Amino acid sequence: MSKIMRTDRFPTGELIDRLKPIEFTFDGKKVAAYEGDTLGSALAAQNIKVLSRSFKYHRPRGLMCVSGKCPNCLVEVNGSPNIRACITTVENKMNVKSQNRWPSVKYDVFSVIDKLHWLLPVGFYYKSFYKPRFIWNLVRPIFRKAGGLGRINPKAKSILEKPHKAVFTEIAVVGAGLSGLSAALSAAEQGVEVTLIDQLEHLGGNNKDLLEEELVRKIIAKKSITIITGAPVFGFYPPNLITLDTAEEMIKLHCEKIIIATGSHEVPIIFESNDLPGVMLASGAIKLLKLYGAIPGNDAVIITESNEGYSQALELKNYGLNVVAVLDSRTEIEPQLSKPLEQAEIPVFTDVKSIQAIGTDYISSIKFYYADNWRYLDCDLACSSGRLQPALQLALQAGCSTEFNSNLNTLVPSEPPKQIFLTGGLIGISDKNDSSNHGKTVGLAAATNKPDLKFNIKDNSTNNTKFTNICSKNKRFICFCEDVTSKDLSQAIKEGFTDIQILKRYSTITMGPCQGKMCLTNFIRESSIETGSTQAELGLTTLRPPVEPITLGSLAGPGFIPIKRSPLHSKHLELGAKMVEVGGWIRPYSYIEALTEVSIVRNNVGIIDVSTLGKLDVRGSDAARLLDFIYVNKMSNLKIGKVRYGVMCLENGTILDDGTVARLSDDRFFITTTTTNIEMIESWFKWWLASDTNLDVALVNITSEHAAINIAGPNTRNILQGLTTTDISANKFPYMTVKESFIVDIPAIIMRIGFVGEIGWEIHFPSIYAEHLWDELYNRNVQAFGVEAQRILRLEKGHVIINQDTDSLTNPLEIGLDHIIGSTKSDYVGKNQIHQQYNRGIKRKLVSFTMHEKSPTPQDGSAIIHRGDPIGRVTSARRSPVNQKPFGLAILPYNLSIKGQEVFILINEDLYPAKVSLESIYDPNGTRLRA
Amino acid sequence: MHQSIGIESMKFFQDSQQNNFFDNHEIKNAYDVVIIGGGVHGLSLAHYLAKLGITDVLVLDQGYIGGGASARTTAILRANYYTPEAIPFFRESLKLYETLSSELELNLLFNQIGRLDIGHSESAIYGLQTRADFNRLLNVESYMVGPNEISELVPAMDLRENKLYPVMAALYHPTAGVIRHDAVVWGYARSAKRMGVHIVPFTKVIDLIVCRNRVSGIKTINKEVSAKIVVNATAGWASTIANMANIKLPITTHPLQVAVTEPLKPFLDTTVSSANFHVYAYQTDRGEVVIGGGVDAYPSYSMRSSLSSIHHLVSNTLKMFPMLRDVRLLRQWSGLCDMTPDYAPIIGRVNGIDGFLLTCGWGSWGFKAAPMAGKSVAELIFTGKTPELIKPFRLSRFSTGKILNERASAPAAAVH
Repeated sequence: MSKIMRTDRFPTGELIDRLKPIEFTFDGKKVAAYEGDTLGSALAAQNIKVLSRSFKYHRPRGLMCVSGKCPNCLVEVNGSPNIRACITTVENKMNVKSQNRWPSVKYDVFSVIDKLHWLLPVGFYYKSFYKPRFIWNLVRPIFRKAGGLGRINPKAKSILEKPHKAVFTEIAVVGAGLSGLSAALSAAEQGVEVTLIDQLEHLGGNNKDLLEEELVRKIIAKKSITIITGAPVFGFYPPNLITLDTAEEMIKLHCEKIIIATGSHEVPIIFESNDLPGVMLASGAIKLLKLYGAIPGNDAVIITESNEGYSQALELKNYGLNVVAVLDSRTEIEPQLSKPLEQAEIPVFTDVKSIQAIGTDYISSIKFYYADNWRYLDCDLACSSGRLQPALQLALQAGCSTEFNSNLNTLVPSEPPKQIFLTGGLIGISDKNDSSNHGKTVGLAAATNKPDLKFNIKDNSTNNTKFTNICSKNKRFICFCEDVTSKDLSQAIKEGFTDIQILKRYSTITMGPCQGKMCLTNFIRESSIETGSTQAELGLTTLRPPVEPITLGSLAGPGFIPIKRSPLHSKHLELGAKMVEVGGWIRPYSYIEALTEVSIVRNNVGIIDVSTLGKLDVRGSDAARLLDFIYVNKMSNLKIGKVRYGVMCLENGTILDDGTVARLSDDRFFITTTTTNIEMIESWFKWWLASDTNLDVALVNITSEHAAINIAGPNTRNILQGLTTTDISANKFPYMTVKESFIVDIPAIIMRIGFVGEIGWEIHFPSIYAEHLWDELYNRNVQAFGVEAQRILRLEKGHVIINQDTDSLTNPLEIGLDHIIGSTKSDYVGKNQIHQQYNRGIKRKLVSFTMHEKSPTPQDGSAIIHRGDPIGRVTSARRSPVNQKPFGLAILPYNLSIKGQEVFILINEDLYPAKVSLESIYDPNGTRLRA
Repeated sequence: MHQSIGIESMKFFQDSQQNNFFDNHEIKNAYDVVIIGGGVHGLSLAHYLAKLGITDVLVLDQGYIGGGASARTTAILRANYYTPEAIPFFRESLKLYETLSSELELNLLFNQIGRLDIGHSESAIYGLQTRADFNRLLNVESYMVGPNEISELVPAMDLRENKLYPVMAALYHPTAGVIRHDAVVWGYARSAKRMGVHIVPFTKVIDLIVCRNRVSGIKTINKEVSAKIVVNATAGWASTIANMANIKLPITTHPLQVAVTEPLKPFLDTTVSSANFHVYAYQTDRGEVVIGGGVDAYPSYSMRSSLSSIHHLVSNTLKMFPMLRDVRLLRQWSGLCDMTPDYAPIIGRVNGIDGFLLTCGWGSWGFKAAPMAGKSVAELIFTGKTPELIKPFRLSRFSTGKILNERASAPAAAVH
């Protein structure tokens, strides 16, 4: 067993537990770590500098921001791609791999692209590889291979499904830095309920000090403040909903008001080779030292353009680093800034013009232009210090506009909508007192509904110089995700892309994994210089949700597909039925061979579970009037005890649904609808009912309350008569009638109807008795049949299934309900349009067809051809068990819907003849049905 | 050949003013044709008009060029539609796209990676079968494939059979593809500009000049511009522009939401759409997975993203590709779709109004149609005759009972 080298760390390191060493592997090599380490801090402590290869040029990249924002430390962890190493806590035995490299992160074959950069300026792919056409197809696979970052593993063990939770709060405060803490406390002191959220695991922000600690103590003591830490807010959605992605759940927080105090964060200063591993943000280097005791380098050069660089230089020095020098772009420095550095023996160079990082895979020195000379400083760490970008994603999504802020020399959110409040570094406040006071004022304003914010923010704006660029051989990166350099940007602008939105799309700046978090400020600044427009004139690109990348799994939550089951579901399973989804229900497809089921129904008797039919109980003195209006058929003249087939249409005269209407008494109807549509039809009825509040109608959807079994076949009467005292002889219980009666003592609505074309009854009865009645029937040697047998049976009979044999343009005339034109009803839904269609002449018709027994059976949906043109389609087709011929229903042009007309059906690339018939192929006169 | 591959011609592109994509133009007082809408449709029309010699043309946009639906489309190009009217039109448009890169001298990154429309239920397959048949009969390559072929085309797809909605079969359309949509817009714009067309962004048309039964120009905030012909190519805003000439279009505007993940190494090289789940997905050359679906149920002009839509898109995508659970979503956005009742466009003249042409009702099927729509409307302006291919799409179909029912559009699939 080889012992792992544990490089010494500095004594700092608040978050690591030195008594608990653990280890993980990086590209197969063991790496020592402590509990509390992140992958990034452990790798830094082990002096592993190159963590990834960049997107376009495959340049080596190492830790830069150490805050989960930049793309430089994306690695694969336990098979999951694109994990940010710098914010991922180490777990023992983690398997970590670098990405976007071959064969290794140290020697990447694709890094040759970096040398070919002169071939690949911004948008180069638009300007090449298209003549001749096939060239692009040859080149494209190489592009694809070079692009992308992490690799997905189809077998990767997925994280747990996160539940989604909805929570309500009066005031949400996003960001628990100084201003956020102050705002939360002052709002809560007004007696308002507050939720304080931060993406860090602790309150107080990154620069936690005594001032923050005191506030945190007070906030924890305050019962009316709910604290949620470790929760990035990943989106704002109207109206005032913010979404939080915590480790355990996704929280939808509905807020009356939102105080946004997301602060600002450091972004890179642009100089040559500013992407070299070892060039870091100063805040990142400090974080490594302070929180983990990990040493980012020994000899540090600080590159700055603001006062921040001086305090950060001292801080690094205090941790024990050798600070080689501070390089400042500004000319004038206040003595109180430089003095402490003199005391600490840190040389300061002001008015530095141009900077270049030097090194092959890692920084070894800094070259800079000072006092008309190029100078060199050896170092193994260069800290870009003090350039800040406000974290404005959430504020802009919430509807704020932007204004130029001279403190930050960038655009900050402004003019928040009514229920949104902004405070802190986000809007350019840098002074501690200002942050705390402004936070208080905002908290008070939000809590008391008095958004009267008069507040003078101290102007700390420096003289806003920038490092100019004297020698330009090397790349100066603006966008690290997409490898876009300042040269690319100016080239794009020269080509006419002067609007920030298309400039973004052409250059792809801000479009990578950081979504602008590292590059937006720099992008706007550089564009402003190149175009001559002010930053305010240029504006920002749209910052879209999510604010923080969120996994698809978290967003989806525990996935489930709602599905309906009949009360007889377990019976079907017991009988070994093959189940299938039909219109949102799980139904038996068949129990035995579907054709055998068909033959048993035709010759003996079968039962099918039709509990899935929609069922409505409609009562009241105006029930008949309502039905007359909704159905195209007349229902008011239906006699008590009779059943009628009905069709309803939309206002445009196309068929909505069909079913049976049974009149149980003068003021009571029992209605069935299709399996799929019941919810829609219930709303449809209620919609029209609501249009006339004077109607005396009560309507109940009893679909799940009632089960239904259809028993059919020539021997049905023998079986059923044994179970009921009601006389079901042909005279006493004729076709299309209904009785309320008892079957084996179960109260039931019994309808004599016949969808499958045999003598039969449809029995509707309370669901609780479903299994009992099923058993009573089944035990009398009755064959259960499924939806496939039913489809064949009804097709032989020519009975229509809505949405199968009709489409969203089918009107009742096209399925043969011509008689409704003569209806005496004054009005019904769709009447006007149906009459218009009638007057113009209908264009299509649903017809039956039969084919030669030697021809194959067409698929449902097959095209029908006449004289070479596709003119219609098969809506349903099967092979008839009666005569072995393929047959079915088809929609044809009206002029071809003539008995005996020959058309052709496309089956497997061949055309087969079919003959149109206008009557059903089975029992066309209905003698069996009425027997 | 080396020249065509790139290096020399690229230098040329970088240096010449002629090759800039955009120039500034002063708006004149009068033009032969004013096109309202500087998206792919307006610019495609400008390009084909200029090719016919009609170059006294002004294209206006209220925002930046190509900033509306053209910037937001997922740019899937296909012709496997449902109605015999739509199929040939989209077929011809797809053909134009095949040669568009060389016509516009710009690599539009058109990848003919094919398209699978997956059926997870018998009823879904039924609709796909009709499309397969109609497509082939009308010369569009399109046929049904089973799980084995699907697995070969998309190895990453979850093909387990014991699911509620298993992958049963699919409609395969090998010539479908995706394109770099912004580049199409820029290419058309540059080409039209080179031939003399004026393209002016950030200029809103606030009214039409209408006298008697004729549209004779447009008004911006500070200018009146007269025109022999005004074309309404404003997608989501088509009905508001038509209103200015007192024309009521049967169009409602709905948002359509889209999302994209962080970049991944290539694992999916086909566009995949689910007829049951109402989502589609493909992977770009940059490695991102683009996810889209049907339009939102409510009409709106808001382009803000919604949580419920993204939830729907993402959870349905995971039903097909469960291994994407740990992949991160980078960005979601939405665009506006000008939806017609029959999911087909409205192109051409308006009865009773002269000097005004429509190319709208492009819903979610507009980008794929842009070349043929532009070319057809240009021909209509040039010859004064409506080309056969766009005759079925005239506005009058809504009053003469000749509506189309294009069920193969993404939103239609979600409704019917």
